[in-house]
Amino acid sequence: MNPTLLIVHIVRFFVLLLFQGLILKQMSIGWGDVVYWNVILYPLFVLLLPVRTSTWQLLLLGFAMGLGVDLFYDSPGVHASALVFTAFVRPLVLRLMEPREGYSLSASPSRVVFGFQGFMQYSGILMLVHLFFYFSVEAFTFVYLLDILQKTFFSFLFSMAFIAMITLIFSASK
Amino acid sequence: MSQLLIRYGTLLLFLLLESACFYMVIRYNSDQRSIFTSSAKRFSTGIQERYYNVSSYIGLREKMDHMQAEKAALKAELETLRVQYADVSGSQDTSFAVRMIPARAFNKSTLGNYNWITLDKGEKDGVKPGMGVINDDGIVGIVRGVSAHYALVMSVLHRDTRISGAVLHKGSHGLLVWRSSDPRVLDLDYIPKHVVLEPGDTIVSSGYSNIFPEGIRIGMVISSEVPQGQNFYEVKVKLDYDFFKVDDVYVVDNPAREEISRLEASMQQ
Repeated sequence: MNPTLLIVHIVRFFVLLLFQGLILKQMSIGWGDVVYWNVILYPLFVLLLPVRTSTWQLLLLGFAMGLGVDLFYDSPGVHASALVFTAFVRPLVLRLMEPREGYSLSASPSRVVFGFQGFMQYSGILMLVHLFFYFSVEAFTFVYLLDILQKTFFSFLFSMAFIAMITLIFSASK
Repeated sequence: MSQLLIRYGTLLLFLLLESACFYMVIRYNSDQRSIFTSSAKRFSTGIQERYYNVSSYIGLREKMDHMQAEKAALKAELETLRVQYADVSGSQDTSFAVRMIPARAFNKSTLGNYNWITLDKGEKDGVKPGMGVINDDGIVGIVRGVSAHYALVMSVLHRDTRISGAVLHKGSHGLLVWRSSDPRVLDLDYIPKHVVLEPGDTIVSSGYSNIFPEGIRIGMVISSEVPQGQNFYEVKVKLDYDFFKVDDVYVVDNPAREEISRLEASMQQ
């Protein structure tokens, strides 16, 4: 990987970690029994790693990021387990969405590669996987399945809105 | 062997990391979480406190108004008590005076099933495990672990927290438990069905456990019914305040609590 790209990923790691732990965590809140505001953004770090990152690298980086978030959330292992799982699933989703001409070597799976719609699809699948896994581990039983699904649904909605905004603002269009 | 490693290496790593995670989840799921807090969490607590110092300026105005109002109410109460005290003026025993240790709550959450709050006061300020934590509007939680400068509070919004609550003016009491997914609604168990309980009744702390002073307002009954064939009510209590706004709290240091629990422990032997 060329050095500038490396720095971008390192900076992204810390920015997402602090943003999640300091700001998004404080902002999260439930209203009444139904609506539920919670934005989970840190998986974006794993989603945006270059396409050719090997699975074991993804797993270790996901583990590190997850543990970092766990420090802020007081939930040792919960975020980490979810992000390791998401990292494990990522190559499968990438293979599923591979363009006909294949990926260029150094590309990150971003808006530039997939187009806006494609990127939302890609991050949507992985975010859904991540959130469902996360809330399941957090409850640690499927007794609260309805509760888990409800939390997953609302977190997914708001998180994807954030991802869409970030994608539109920060990545250059084609 | 190396063939196998190449083939299943990533799967193996995946399983290894997941089991490490689950080990942590299970290991620290209960009260042992405080161990994690006191050691590994130093780092994030430091950052969070610094961040809190900055962000607490926002909303300062609102908070000041609130304090002003509270001060006024307290002054009024003080005057009333002074008058009453002049009438009694017999006992001078102040050894059982309840002390309030003011503290700031940060790193609070209402999202999980097992919520904890960190306070910026610890052992050095006289905070001990088992003390109750309240704020101006109601009950916040119970101190479970302390380090030198910080305390870890098991929030009312923790599935394992049980707090004794009484129905105001009706003399009956039960246990408050958080079971719903709504951070503002608690369940009140063990209210016998002969008590006349209606939506709108006020629930206060009973003071039986000596963790909290008696008569602190907790919330209001929003629904109460006796299920078919049961002897106890199913009561839902709506909290008076937004847990999300819990910032300035008081740790209740009741000297009677320790003495009573010592006495009880000696009876059980």
